[in-house]
Amino acid sequence: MTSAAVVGIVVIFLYALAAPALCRALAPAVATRILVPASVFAAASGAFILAVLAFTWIGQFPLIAARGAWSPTRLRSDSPIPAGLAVVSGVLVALAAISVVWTVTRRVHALLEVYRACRDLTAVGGLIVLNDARPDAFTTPQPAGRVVVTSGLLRALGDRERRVLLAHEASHLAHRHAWWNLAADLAAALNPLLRPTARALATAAERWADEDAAQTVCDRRLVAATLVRVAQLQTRFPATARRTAITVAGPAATGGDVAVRVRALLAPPPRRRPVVVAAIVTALLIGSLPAAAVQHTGEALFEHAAQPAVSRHT
Amino acid sequence: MASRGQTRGRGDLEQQVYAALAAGGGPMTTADVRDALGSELAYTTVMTVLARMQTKGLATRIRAGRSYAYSAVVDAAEVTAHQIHRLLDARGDRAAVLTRFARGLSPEESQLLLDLLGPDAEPEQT
Repeated sequence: MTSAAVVGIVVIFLYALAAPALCRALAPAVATRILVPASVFAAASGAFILAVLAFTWIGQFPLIAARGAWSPTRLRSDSPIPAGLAVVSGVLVALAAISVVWTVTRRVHALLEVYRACRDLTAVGGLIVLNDARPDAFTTPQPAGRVVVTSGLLRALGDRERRVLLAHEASHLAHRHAWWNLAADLAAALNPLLRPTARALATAAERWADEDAAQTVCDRRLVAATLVRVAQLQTRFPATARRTAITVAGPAATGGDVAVRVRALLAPPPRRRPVVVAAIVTALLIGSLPAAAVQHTGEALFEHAAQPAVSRHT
Repeated sequence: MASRGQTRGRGDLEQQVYAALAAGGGPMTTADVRDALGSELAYTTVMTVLARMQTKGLATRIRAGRSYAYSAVVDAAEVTAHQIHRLLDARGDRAAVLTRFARGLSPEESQLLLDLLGPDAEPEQT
């Protein structure tokens, strides 16, 4: 069990190291569909392994052991996990649980706030035009998904740029990018090692919408130029300048990274690489084996400790 | 691939017409709107969409010669605009719920990107 747990933890470390680069190498839609579930699984199995380790210690308390019908002394002698390691695991699991509950609570609160703000506005085919000079555009999450564009931005854009903007936002809605991002963020809340991956995945969602927009208007350069232009408009607008300075300095929590997206659009479209994708999926599936092994050996440990008293002396 | 732009639903078309009207900033005739959409839409299609939007209260119209000129009805709800500003200015979770089109760029960064885009990268104007 110890070796399975160690291998499991090492695999999760390796995944956390490799995933951001993988995310940038794959086509954005593919990266999102593979790496978001993989991140959620990595975070959950990491927490699971720690929880099993912790329980080898918690299970030794007579009160808990009585409920679970195994012998605490037998568990203590069987368990290959040092008490210190088990205690540390328990603390880490507790912290991860608190972090997830905290994130979920705040996110649900934010979702409701956004929903309320947009609920009563006139939407035409899901589009809300906000009477506002400040140039901005964003999409709110499904099922009450709305594309919100300020009149200031609409007026500053040309016809073709406007098509790019609407196609980009339509892609966010159609592919439920907000929820993919939420899943990646929750994985990162559970396991802080996955934060760079969650950031890379947020950029991938923007890239995905950029690629869809490029297909709709049949012009990658136009999408790139529109991005630069909107970003410039936002920087120039006095009220947003201060906010932008903060956002550029801080981690890219939202919106992706404009420079990365522009460079990707100026490069040829991402190729479908079925062999690479198959290899990555296989590697991820193999990587999930240690977690399964920990579950199996963890169960065996408690089953062994639960053997009836008579057979203990045989 | 060419069909992607054409196979759009009625909601999408209405959305594009509405965006074009809102972008125009002033009354637009059916021909203006059709030009602004830059696609091979039939004049009558655009006319039907505009008329429907007018009956739904999404657009107002005035007489312009023998036809009409339309303007988008945009919510003036300042309270909501204020709420949305708060959402946009927020950091962390409130901002994370929204997928933003683009955030600002530093001047150096945008100059670099403009160089990458090449000489004909100057923004189009309408």
